[in-house]
Formats: sequence, C-alpha cells, structure tokens
Amino acid sequence: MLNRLSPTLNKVLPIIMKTNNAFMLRLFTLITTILVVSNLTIKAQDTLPSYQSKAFKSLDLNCGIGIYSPTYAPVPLTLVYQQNIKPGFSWLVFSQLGLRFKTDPYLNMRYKTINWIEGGGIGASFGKKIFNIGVHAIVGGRFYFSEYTARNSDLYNKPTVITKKLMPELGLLLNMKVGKKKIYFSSQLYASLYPFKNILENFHNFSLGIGYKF
Amino acid sequence: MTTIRKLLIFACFIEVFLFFNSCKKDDINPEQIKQFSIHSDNTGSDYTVWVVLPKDYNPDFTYETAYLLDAQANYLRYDKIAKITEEQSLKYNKQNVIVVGISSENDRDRDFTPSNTELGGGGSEGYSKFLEFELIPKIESDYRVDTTAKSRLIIGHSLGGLFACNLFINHSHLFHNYLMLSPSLWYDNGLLLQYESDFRAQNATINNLVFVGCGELEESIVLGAQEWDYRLSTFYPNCIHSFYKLLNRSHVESAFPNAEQGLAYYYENK
Repeated sequence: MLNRLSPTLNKVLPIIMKTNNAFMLRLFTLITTILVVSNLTIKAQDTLPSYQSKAFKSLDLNCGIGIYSPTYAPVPLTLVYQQNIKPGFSWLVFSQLGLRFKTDPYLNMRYKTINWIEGGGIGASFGKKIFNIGVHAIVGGRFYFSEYTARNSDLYNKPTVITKKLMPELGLLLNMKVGKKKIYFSSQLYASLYPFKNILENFHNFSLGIGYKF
Repeated sequence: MTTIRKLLIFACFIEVFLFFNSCKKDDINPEQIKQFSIHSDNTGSDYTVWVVLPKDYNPDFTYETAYLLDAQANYLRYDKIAKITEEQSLKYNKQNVIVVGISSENDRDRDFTPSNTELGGGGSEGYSKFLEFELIPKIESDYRVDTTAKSRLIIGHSLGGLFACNLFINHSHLFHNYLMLSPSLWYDNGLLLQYESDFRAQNATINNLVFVGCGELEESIVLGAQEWDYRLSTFYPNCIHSFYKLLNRSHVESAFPNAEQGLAYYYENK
C-alpha cells in the first residue's frame, strides 16, 4: 500500500537503501514518516497561539457537580468551543448536558432529570501563556425534563410527576485554563441566571476537565 | 475608554440602584414587634417568639392569630409575613391578624416530624402539646386574641408544612386555617398520607380552610402536594381549599410567593 501511495519513494529508496527487499522498504518508509510527522508536531508546540492571541481557538471538555444540591442536581457534561475575536476578547459556543437517574431511599422515589443547555457567549479573558481566566455571558436555550415516580405507588392517585420545559437560558461562565501545551487543564464555574426569581436554586455547577488548543 | 467616561457609567449604575432602593415599601414599625423566649416542658427546648401586632392594634377588640413556623428563616421571616397580612387586610377590607412567629433554629427536624428516622426525631406530638398547652395560652393571656380554633391560622413550609398536615389529621381542634407550603409529604415513605387514610373517617366532616402551595421545580414535593389536594377534593367536601403550583420555582424560592398567595386566599375566604 505504501508503494502505491509513493511511487517516487519506491524508485528512490532502493538507491538509498541499496536493497530491493520489499518488507524492509516498507518498514523504512513507515519509520521515516513517523519521524518526520513527530518532528513537525514538536515544532508546532513552540508555535502554539497564546491564550491572548487573535489566532487562539480551543475546545474544553468538562465534567462536574451541581452546587446548590450536589446529590440531587443533574451531573453536567460541558463542551465549550472558544475563539478569540481580538486579544483577550472571545466568543464561544456552550453546550451542557446534565443527567441524573437515581432511586432515592429517603424520598422513596425514582427519578430522571435531564438538563440540556445550548448557547453562545461573549466575554473577556486574562492571562497569556500558562494561565488564563475568562468571564463570558452565555445566552441560549434550555430543555429541562424530569420524571419522579413514587415507589409506594399505592398511596398515590397519580404516583408520577413529569415536568417538561423549554426556556431561555442566561448564564455566566467562569473558565480557567492552566497549561502552555496543546492539551491543558480546564475548570469551569457556571452560574445559571434564569429564571431570575429562582436564582438561588438554579442548576449552577462546577466542573473540571481538559482543553485542546487548535 | 477614558477614565472619566468609566466613572460616569459607574455613577449612573449607582444612581439607578439608589432610585430603585428608595422605591422599597415601608417595613413593619419595630414598635409593633414584641419578642420573648419561652421554654417548653413538652419538648424540653427554648423558643424565641415574635409577636407582630397590627398597626392599629386596639385592646378593646379581639384579633385572629396567624402562627408562623420557621419564623427566623430569611425567606419566610415574621416581619415579611406581617407585611403581607397588613396588605391583604387592606385589600379585602378585613381586620388584620396578630402574627406569632416561632423560631425553629435548634430542633426543627425533631419538632416537625411525626416519626423517628435518620432525617427527623419524631417529636411532633410534643411540639403540638407545646403549641396547645404552652404557647397559645400565653398568647391568649398577653394579647387580645380570639380564643377559638376558627380564629387561628398555621403557616408551615417544608417540614413545617408536613407538621401542618399532621395537625390537620391529628389535632384539627387546634387550628381551623392552614397554609401548607411545599409540605414534605415524602417523609418516612409517605407516613402522613397513610395517617390521613387511617383517620379519614373521623375527620370527614371538618370544614377547615386549607391552602396547599408548591414550586413547579420541586418535583418530589409536587407529588405529595398534588396527592394532598386530590384527597381534600375527594374526601373532605366541607373543606374549602386551593392548590397552587408556582411556575419556574424550586423549594426555597417558592416559599414566600406561595405564602403571599395563601394569605390572599385566607383573607378572601375568612
């Protein structure tokens, strides 16, 4: 297969290797390719854009815990794509899926909760090379679903309550990045501001994970 | 952006904040609030009690009373509730009530629960006796209050709501009017729901006023509150009752708005 991909190499290599052994030629080609690619990669580390540069783009994946009611709130999994508009100022795409499926012995209920947020954000960040902290306002939409079922259903006329809501989302994201390589450590604090009158008990969460610089 | 422009924007924010702050309604006059501490032999605990008298309190008249549990909690504090009763009494042109706020800082889980579990001490019988034989008689001796059960309202939230449900089933002679806010009817595998079934026959003719309120986003509470409302509708034809589910609110954030709603219902129907 390597021979078909590089006919030129096929003509040149025997002259270099002074051998016509096909297996050896293939092995030599593979090793050379690996060395060239890794060398290019190492050079790319030195030329990675800093957090403040206009060329900065990243993707963060985080998993966390609810703040107000950690044992009941959905467990959030967050994906954030961030791109600088100008140094220190960026926009981002925010996706968060929170799930919790549990049978609670104290409530004597089984419940499922899904909290899914999609939004875009804009904000500022501080910190150049190793450390960066960003504050972004997020605007978008949220889908919330929950189903609670009493295990002692004989006591209830209707033993199940289902809540399904599609609502606007407004939030604040505090995003911290640590590391100067392509892959860095990421942590996030997300404050869900809507509904405003339920702000104390909204699904705020804290999460940890990794990020990748493009 | 220049420094002067930033300062001007900041000053605008301060002005807007002060403007909205100045539009705040007047609070209850501190002279209307009487505070004392009472020891209960029935529970062995001490309780701080706040008595908020109506603005126009006159010892020549007798007043109805509203007993508020968890009265020290910021989201349901005695002076905030007294403010609502004042507004509602003006709105419905009815005599205002004396609000009696009872603190629950120390032994709430014991006092409000009907059975001994990991989550509560099962001391509601002792607390009921504290109300019946210690606190209510003291209020009736110190202030000009109506001494009939028909004149008393109990307001409880969460475990306090559970206690109010317990009073409805087992001590309906004490209070005629109930505001059950987000009652924790899940407690001990729905024990109060079981009690209600057991004592339904002897309570079937009671004609109390009951308001049940909860928040849409406290689903475990909604399950019990809906069930309670169903039972009131089906098995207590003489009770007047209302069920209210506040949209987009959870457990704590639904307490005060539901108290407002419940007090409006109470004043409208008393």
